[in-house]
Amino acid sequence: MIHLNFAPRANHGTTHPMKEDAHETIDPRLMRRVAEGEVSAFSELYDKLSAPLFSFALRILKDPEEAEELLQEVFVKIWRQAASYDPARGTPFAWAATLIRYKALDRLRSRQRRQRLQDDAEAEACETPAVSTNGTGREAGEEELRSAFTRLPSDQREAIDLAFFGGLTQQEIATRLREPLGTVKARIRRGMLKLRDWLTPTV
Amino acid sequence: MIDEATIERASLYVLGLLEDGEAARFATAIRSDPELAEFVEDLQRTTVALAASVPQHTPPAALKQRIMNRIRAEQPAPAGRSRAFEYLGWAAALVLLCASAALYHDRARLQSANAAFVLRDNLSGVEIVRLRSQLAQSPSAGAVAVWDSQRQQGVLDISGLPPARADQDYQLWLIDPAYSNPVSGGLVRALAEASGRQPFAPAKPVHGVTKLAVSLERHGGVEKAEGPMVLISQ
Repeated sequence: MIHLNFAPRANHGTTHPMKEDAHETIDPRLMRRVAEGEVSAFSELYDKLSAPLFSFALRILKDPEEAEELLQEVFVKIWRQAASYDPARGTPFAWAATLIRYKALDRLRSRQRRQRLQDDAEAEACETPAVSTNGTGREAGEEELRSAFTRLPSDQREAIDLAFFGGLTQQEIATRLREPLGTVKARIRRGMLKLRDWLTPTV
Repeated sequence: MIDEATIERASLYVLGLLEDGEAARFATAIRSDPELAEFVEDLQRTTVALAASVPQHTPPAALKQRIMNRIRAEQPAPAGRSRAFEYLGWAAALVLLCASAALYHDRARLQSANAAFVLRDNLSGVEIVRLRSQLAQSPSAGAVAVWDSQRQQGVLDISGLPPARADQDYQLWLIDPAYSNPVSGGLVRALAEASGRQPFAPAKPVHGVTKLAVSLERHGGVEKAEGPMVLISQ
């Protein structure tokens, strides 16, 4: 389960450390027009959301072709289900990012299962998803995230990365990092608190 | 003041790291604690910021064309839904009014109705379906759907259904024997107020709908129904 949705919060007049991207300023009326079947509105929505969603999918899947497939799947779903979008439960980006993450992690797990079946002896290697060689894939730790995430201590960043972008369970993270479960939980807690302080406006 | 253990659970919750049962208990705690709810909301905002914080890559231009072609090719395309819904909204109100009167004055007809659709209105292609609760804890929950098979659109009016957990959504299904699996009608909400009409449209054309149902699914909805059916037409 993931919980990306949240109600838009009032701007308290402080500077948000993240730059304001096009996807953050989508007029709710645009979603309504999409829900009403307006193709031009859908095109506009695609222009605003496609890059951040594609980038998020690529970050999880590390495979441009698969990220493209997923983006198509999610945008078709948005087209079909735009009427069910509820602004009170989050921004259009949050809604779409939830879909991307669910489906990307499903694909990632399926791929990892297939890989394990194909070569059980190289299971360790399979734990790191294959990186595309076309230049858009990147190795872990390589200018992956913007300032806030990279400012985290590496142990906290690694635990959150494995959970959020890798879809691993608590126990899987502990096994991967060779740390006790309690240590992993504490790292996640400390890291999320820091990110929360850095990434969300203060009252 | 939120204690450290709760902060930890909240962090695990927003990252999807709690097991189902624990997540459900935590979701319940959120609903009863405004301070915790606000804190979790902040963490959820943080995860969205994380999703948006990855280095940006632009998808190939050809992908947009493929997607645009795909949605245009979908039949029935939702295009033109706006005017249709304006009409359908009025039609639905009229049909619901007629249905109420008819149901009141024509109980015998209702009792003899074994089919899913309890009443067919004179408006060609417009049908009214009543969905009944399958929930022991909410026996009075229900819904009325007005389904326009010609326009492949409908309006659902849900009442008495408890709000879905943060990690779940209610999803409408149209059962058409032409398909081996129910066809999704999209996500629907159990509104805080007594009831509210929500438009819906099937994910693919359905022309022989025999039942409608609402199930409780994972957040964001599913391709095939997995969760328990909470409302179903007779």
